[in-house]
Amino acid sequence: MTARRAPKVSPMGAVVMMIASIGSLAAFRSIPALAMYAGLATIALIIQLQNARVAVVMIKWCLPFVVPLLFVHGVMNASYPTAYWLMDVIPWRPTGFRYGVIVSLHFIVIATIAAYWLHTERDDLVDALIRMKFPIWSILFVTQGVAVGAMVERRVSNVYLAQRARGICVGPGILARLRAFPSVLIPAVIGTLLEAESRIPALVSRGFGSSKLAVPPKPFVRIANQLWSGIPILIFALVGLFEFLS
Amino acid sequence: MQLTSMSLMRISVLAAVCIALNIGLNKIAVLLQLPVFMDTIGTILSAALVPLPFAILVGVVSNILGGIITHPAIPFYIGTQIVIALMAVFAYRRGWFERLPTALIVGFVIGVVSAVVSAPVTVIVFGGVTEAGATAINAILLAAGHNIWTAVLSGTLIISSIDKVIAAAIVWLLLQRLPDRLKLAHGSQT
Repeated sequence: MTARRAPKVSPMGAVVMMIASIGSLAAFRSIPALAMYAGLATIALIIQLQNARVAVVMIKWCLPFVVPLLFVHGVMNASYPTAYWLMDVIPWRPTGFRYGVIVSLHFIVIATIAAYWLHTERDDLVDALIRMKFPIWSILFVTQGVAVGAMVERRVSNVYLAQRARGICVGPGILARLRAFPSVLIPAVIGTLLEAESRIPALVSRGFGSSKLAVPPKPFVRIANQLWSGIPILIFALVGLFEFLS
Repeated sequence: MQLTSMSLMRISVLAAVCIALNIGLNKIAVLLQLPVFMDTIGTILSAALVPLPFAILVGVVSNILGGIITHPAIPFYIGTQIVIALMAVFAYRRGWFERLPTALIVGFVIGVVSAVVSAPVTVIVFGGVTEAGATAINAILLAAGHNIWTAVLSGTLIISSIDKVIAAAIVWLLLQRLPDRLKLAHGSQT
């Protein structure tokens, strides 16, 4: 019995989503239309992935951006007129708040594009790049960049723990963390670069880069998945109709 | 410029590590709650390891991948990464990363120029909100009655110049410890 693969977004689905979202940013001007598009696109992704964790990712991305934005323009930005004072202390600027809401919704739409790409099957993405005849070094850039990025993170956190175990002060204050950063960073980065260098002859001796990559066959895509790719266009059309009618 | 498969592989692997440094270190800076971005160390270091077009690609690809892995706002700053790559390559070819004082000056200049390049993106696309430290400065300046352009430019100038000076110092440290065989010769065009 094989384990059931968690549903993922196809590269085509992510491309369609990106085009629909750029179109929505250009076409929709009203707050309800932008909110409707962002909400429906996120809900569609949650249903497609059968996993609500995407909502948590979206909140983690958007909250630290939206809250300061609304506060800065709705309260602090003196270039917007004050409508009234809350408790005679806090100014309330509705025009600035409205501007903040529009920029926030734009950002949420942008975050939706990123969420679709984040949940794309990486193997399918690499296969698609090979089929589109991207040069091998560019594919190596992307794949190695992601893989080594995770490795750098792990390595730095290992060195960080090792330095702490040796009694080297690596916190808790910002200054202590900043001062400790080079001593944590340098060994990890040098190690990663030297290890990468040792991989080069191994890759070349296996013919990587000197021969053409075998073009992978087009994967079998279920009709349901193909239909999912069209959902962002449907959402765009629905919201467009809503904005036109209202 | 004809590249053998060995040298192309070398460039690709080292460039991929530089991309990984940009992404990985940025995530660590966020995790450790450092008031800096640390997302350009890989780009500045790539000036010493790979030719100019690849150094630019390091910046571009880092920001595209960072937009998916770290934060959706990052790809909008691709122009900043390109400018940083160009300036870092120019500085490395003139040997300005040989000594710490010149490396720090290069870092400061890169910080100022990158702030000027990224401020319009922060204002037009993100309404003046960016990394927490810079946003706090922007908010204070906006409350003091400055317009959004002045506020964002001032806030970004302060944070970006500190960030890039630290990045340049780290790159200087790395170049001191890296074996010469990994580095491009000064004045090298390839």
